[in-house]
Amino acid sequence: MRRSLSLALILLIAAGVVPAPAQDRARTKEVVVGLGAEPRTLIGVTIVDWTTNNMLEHMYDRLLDRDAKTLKPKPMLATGWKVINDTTWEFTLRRGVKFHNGEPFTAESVKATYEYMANPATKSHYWSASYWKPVTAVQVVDDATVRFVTEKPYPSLLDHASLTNFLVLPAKALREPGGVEKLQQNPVGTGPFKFVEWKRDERLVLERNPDYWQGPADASRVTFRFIPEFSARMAALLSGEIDIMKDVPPQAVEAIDKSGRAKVRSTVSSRINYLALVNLKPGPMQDVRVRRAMNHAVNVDELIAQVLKGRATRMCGPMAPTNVDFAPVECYKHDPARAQALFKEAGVDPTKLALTLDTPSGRYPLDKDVSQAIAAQLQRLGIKVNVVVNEWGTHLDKIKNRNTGDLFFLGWGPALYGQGTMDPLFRGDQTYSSYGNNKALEDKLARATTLVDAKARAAAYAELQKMVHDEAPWVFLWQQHDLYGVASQVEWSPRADEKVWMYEARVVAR
Amino acid sequence: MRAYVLSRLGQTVLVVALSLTAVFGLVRLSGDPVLFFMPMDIQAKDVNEFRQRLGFNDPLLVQYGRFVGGALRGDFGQSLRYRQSALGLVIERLPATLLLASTAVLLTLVVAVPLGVISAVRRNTAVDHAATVATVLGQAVPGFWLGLMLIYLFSVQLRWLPTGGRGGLAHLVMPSIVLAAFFAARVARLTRSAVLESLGEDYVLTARAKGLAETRVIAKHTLRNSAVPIVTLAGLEIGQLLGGAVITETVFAWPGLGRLTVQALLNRDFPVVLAAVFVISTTYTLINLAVDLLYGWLDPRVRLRA
Amino acid sequence: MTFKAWLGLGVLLAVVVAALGAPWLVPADPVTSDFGSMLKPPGSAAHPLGTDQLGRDLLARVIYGARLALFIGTCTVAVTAVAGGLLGLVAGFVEGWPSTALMRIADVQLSFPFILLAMTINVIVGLGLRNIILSLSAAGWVVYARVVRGEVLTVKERDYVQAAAALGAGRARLLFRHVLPNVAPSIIVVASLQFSQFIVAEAAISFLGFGVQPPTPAWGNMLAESRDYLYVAWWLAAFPGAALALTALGVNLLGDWLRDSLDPKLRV
Repeated sequence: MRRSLSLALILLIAAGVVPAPAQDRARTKEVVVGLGAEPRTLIGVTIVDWTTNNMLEHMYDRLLDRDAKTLKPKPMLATGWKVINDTTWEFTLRRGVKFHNGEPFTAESVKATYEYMANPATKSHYWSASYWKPVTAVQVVDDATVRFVTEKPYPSLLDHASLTNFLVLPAKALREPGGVEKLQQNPVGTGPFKFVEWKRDERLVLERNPDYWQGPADASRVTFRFIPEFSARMAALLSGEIDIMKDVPPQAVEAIDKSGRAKVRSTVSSRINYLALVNLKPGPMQDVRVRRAMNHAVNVDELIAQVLKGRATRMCGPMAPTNVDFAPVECYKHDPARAQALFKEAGVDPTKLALTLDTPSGRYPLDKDVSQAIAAQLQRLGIKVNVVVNEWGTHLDKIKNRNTGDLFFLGWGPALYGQGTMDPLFRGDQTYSSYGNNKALEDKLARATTLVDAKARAAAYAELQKMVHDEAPWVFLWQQHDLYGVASQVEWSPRADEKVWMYEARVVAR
Repeated sequence: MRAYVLSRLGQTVLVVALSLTAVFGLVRLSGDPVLFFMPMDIQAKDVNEFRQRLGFNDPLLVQYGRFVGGALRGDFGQSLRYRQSALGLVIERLPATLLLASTAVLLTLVVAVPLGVISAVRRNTAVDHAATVATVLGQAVPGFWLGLMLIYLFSVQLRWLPTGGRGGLAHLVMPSIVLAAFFAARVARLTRSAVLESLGEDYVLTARAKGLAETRVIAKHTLRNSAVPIVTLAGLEIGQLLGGAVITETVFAWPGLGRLTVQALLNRDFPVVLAAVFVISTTYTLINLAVDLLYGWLDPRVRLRA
Repeated sequence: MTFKAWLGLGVLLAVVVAALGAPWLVPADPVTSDFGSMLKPPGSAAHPLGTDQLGRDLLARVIYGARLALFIGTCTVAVTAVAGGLLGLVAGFVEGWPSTALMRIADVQLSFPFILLAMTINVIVGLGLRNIILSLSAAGWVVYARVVRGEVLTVKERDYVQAAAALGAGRARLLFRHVLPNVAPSIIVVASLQFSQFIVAEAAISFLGFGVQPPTPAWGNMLAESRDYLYVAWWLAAFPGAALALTALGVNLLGDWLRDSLDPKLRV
């Protein structure tokens, strides 16, 4: 008994040491980021998952980058691009870039990455119609020139090349026998940080790549710690265990700002939130007048001011200014009288209207609180709204099976280009759409997605946004504001594309 | 004895097989597993292709056959979410949970048993009353609430202890206290009543009559006899301790089996759910077997029969 | 009755009165939002326990929460006691494969922690009040079945039952006239002990993101919602948690006394 006791004690002590406090990290230039989930894989172009890719981007580079402010594509591993013809794009590649294992970056790396992704054994999410399947071949012209050939005009190619949808992998390491497994265990990219270790469910540790082609990062070491509970994440920030946390609820902003250890930094996100008015199944929402009435009945500004404490930016149509294809439309005004009139015109008595609103819980900022507040607002017109809170998986199932109520709450993003938002959401045959059966709209959508010319594309999407606005398939809500808690020894500004990008962080001793 | 152990092991295999079958059937009722880990902007036909490739379009019986075939070879398939061996993921988490659970048990033995003995011996004194209040509260206060309050006090306000995660001894303090609280309260109460009961037995009275010192009476005669119900309860409760670990691990971001299981359930990562069920029910039934054997050793009157 | 039993009874009675009298005790509606007074701290005359993130009166929510807790506890205990008790009776009385099969199912269920099992079932059947009762019941009946079966096995060997059987009493008659009254105390004791386990489990499951969902004022989901506000509005976590602990305390104290006086040997 005594021996087992002492053994247990030794085990306990051997279990590790307390992590370095914040001051030590400032000295050694370490940054600890608290995230809600761990990466699902460490190899690029395999799994579509924003959190995963956010971490992967620190190790890998893309062909193109996006400007942090304008969100327009700009050079990265590719120094330039041009359209050869409607179905061929050519990229000029940067010379002298090396992978972490010493392998040079060339056109062959781009081709090998494409081939890995297209291999059925990879089961890559990116090998699908909305991503890279439209690309039929990647051709090596010379070491520094590569061509993408598509089956039909595919203007979104540029959007994909500038997102995390094409993280370039090393060709030689990938093509070795067992190379894929090795790269999964020990990822190799050209990015600003190198892989150190991944303790599942605990942390991912990266160290600075001193030879990074854009110059070394300021942070010598970046640790991503996985803390699923918001309250635990916040406690960790306030106690100095982590330096950056994502998704601070608006109500907690003051507490963090007053703590003296961290400040809240916020940015307008490209992620949008909306209330779908389902017309894909019989019900009052099939009448466009009712849908417009709903837009006049819900007081979006009040929701933003009261529930979200101002931490959202109102959106009047289906796209926000962070979307490259955005065009402004006029807002529906909060106007109960107008709403009443529209209901009357449609022959609907709001006091006899009983609606069901499906909402997820904890997926978007204050989602279920917003849903309950919308119900309370509609109640003022006598509309009875039953709010049903779903677990995330059930919510998705309900939308997919068209089993939701007449209303459901959903977010979409990062919504950075027109096709990625309009195509999946306004065509009746799409998994997560709530609105469809509009032939004119679908035809125009199909045409817009093939326009390579920038002007024609802008005009097409502007027309589409006006159409969607008038059709009122949603109560257009807002762009989320992403709120981050940032410790005082770290200088870092959040970005609209939700990327926690530690290459841009500076660690300063205070 | 050997026959007994063998037959119990046989029963364990049966129970584990049955529970895997039940969970296999149940999880398939809970919804589409594929949609969940696919990007939202993916088109319906691509989703279906994935479902086909992963075998989710096959008849349920075929899928079950495939599952049984794999499970017999110790292969629970790949995690849908992480693309890694499901069993591997689960086994990786086991040490963290065992460390947490054994610390909680240790804490219980070191605190609750002495507390129970003292309050039995000093029955109806202030010590006894204080202990009673503590145990009654310990059973009534929900663990997750206690956890939140402790974090608020010791991590955020006082900054003495880390909020969560795994690391050194300091990381273990709050999670093991929260996990142990309910368990320790039950054990302390049971110890008290078991000791009280045996204090009234003839052999104790005899021992006292012989003039043995009171500490010796308690140490030698009472404790050994009270051990049987305590060990039984401990055995029964250890399974619930694994359940408590689910909540404790979530509150304290402890990278253990419980949290993995909850996440797998939420994410419909069926291979991981099944691998976790396998590991949990095997561990649990084996612990119960160990408890039964211990039981026989503590109380020779108990004969183990196959 | 002991002092502890009286205390338990007192606490429980207070909770029951609060639950039944909720509409008369608090003028505020537990689900009406008031955007003008959100997250107000306790102490004001209008909102003695403060308000939550949607400006709802916390006192009203805590008191209405008592209704739900008692409702969930009572329903679950009733369902499990009747179903588990009946199955246990039958399994103990009718030997052979049905009994064995039932006990195997029980073993399977018991090879899994209660809370994890209830949660798994809840994931499958979905969220909401009815489903949480269903999930807790499906996970909780085993204890009754086991205890009752064990009791039946001993009771039925007793002389008077044997005698009744020899006199030609039908099975149903034997079961309900002779055996049931003898196992009833065990059922009552188990029920009282399970009650608090169920309401705490409901809260824990809601806390993990399943279970009863807002806007229903249940303590579990109030606590779950309170996590996001822990550092700005301690009262959101403190009061529902305290109410839950207090109720569990009352039930436990009363349950202990019941066990001591009805069935001191029983261990659950």
